[in-house]
Amino acid sequence: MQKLSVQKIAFPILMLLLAMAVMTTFIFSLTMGNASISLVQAIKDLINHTASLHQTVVWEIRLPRATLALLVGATLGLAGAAMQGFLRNPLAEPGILGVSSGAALGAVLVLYFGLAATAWYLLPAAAIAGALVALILVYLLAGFRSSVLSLILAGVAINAMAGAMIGIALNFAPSLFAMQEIVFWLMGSLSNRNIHHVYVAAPFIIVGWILLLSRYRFLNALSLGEETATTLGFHPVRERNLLLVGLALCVGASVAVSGSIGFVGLVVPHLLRPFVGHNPGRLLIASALGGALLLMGADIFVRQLDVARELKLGVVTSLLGGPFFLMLILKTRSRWI
Amino acid sequence: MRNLQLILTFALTSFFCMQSAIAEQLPPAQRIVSINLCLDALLIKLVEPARVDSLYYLSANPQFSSVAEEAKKYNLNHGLAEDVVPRNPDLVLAGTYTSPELKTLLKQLGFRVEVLDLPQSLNDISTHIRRFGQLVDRPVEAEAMAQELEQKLAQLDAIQKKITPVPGFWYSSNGVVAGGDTVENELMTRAGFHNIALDKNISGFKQLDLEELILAQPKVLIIEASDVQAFSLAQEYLQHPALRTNNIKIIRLPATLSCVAPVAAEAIEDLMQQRQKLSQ
Repeated sequence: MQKLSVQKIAFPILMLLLAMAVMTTFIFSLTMGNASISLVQAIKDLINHTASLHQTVVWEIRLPRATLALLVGATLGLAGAAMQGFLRNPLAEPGILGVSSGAALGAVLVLYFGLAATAWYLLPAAAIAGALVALILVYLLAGFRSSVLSLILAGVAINAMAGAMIGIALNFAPSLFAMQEIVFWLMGSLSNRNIHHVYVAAPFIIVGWILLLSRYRFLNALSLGEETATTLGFHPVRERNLLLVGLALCVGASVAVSGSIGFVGLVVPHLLRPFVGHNPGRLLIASALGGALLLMGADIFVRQLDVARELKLGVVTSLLGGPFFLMLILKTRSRWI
Repeated sequence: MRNLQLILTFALTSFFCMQSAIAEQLPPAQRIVSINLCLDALLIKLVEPARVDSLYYLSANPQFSSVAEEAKKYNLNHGLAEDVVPRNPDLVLAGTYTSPELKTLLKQLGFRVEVLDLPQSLNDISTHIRRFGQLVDRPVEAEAMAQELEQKLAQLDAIQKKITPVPGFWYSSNGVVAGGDTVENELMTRAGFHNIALDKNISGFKQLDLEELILAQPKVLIIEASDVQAFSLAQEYLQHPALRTNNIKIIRLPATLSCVAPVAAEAIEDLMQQRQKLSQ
């Protein structure tokens, strides 16, 4: 009965609701902060080109942060949906499978050893390369239609190795602060990000989104099986390569500016799947909106806590995602053997 | 057996206490080993290299040390017992925060270990320098250095009475500001700045939210610049574009100020000049 009722929501209406929620949260996020600042005043000052505190706080501090939360959240939701559809495994997610850690490793290597300063695109490029290597490893280790168990094992292995290598890299980094910053890379945060981070990441993220969203037909066909997809005229190798590149582009560029934030890509597609009638193609765009919503919400939440050091975003998403993950494992346990 | 051990420990401790009490009448040390970063800079400035056996290894690292280039010419030790003992020093200089186990061990092995309290305020520095001078048998040079600093401070205090302080923050990596009870606060206050952190009842060092910082409308941000171009998120914090709006002036101090005693005079001079430039 319940399943029937959730399917009653038409796809366009669901999209409209999600998009409206994303927009509202985004604007809400611009009004939230330690400083009591008027958003209307900030907009007026921006139009009149008057330098003011309102303008600085809203446009220089809050806007980059909210924008990044939107971009990174949408990426993680979309990537989760794409990976689950592509690997046809409910536990696929960039955080759990070590793709985010791989990207973080790439970013750490170029940032802390001074290479990122030489050209702006080196940071996202390295993170994208790290994500791609991790993705290919996951694919080789677990592969198409892998069992839940082999996928988790592959994820644990890649995650552990990438995490350890981040630790080694930071330990040998010349900066005094490097070792403490492992928390940022493994847990993720958007605190004090500025507009340059948006500029660096956004182009790659958007190209990645386009690549992933354009594969919706293939993902739909794939849900009927690899052979059916081939007989329907899809070229699986080409489609797979495009998906992997798209995933690496958006996940890599996101992690390069926000660290690796887990569980968004796991939770969001699962929550939204019943609403899109279990259609993997439609799930992509729905998860992107849902991911943006979740991450913006988490970021607003961490900004509310008045603690000496801001809570990392990954902590919040793990708190939400951990129990969810357990639930999923319990549900799929019967299929393990 | 246990009693014997206790008695022995007591006897040893009291013996070494007595020894350190009469330390200053000992003949000048010829093989000085320093296991403290902050004392190294004073050693380099005051004592001829022939009498210095080795410095603490961090002194040669420009991220920590204001005397990295000079320190590279000396032998370096890692501040470990197995590092210090074979050098057979006749004086080991340690700081308050040097590992207590190491200090005890070296004393038990019969080395002369002198522990210097690091200065907690600007006025402590000259006392610290004089005591250091006596330990290394360079009282005249140390006296000159201490007097130079005292003069600078007196000069500062005289000027300070005539000017309106410029409101600002002492801003360091990770967005941490220096509040009350810090040497940094004293440096900026005496150089003619008003530390806004004090208005916010911040004592010691505390991370300040960027929005709050902007809203407090500082005229200046005093940033300790590191000459080392090593990336960290902590340093990236200081690159935030919001800090470059609303006419905030950024004053970069060149020296590494974690050890304030050797560089206090220069830092004061620098701050004074920068403040004068602001009021022009």
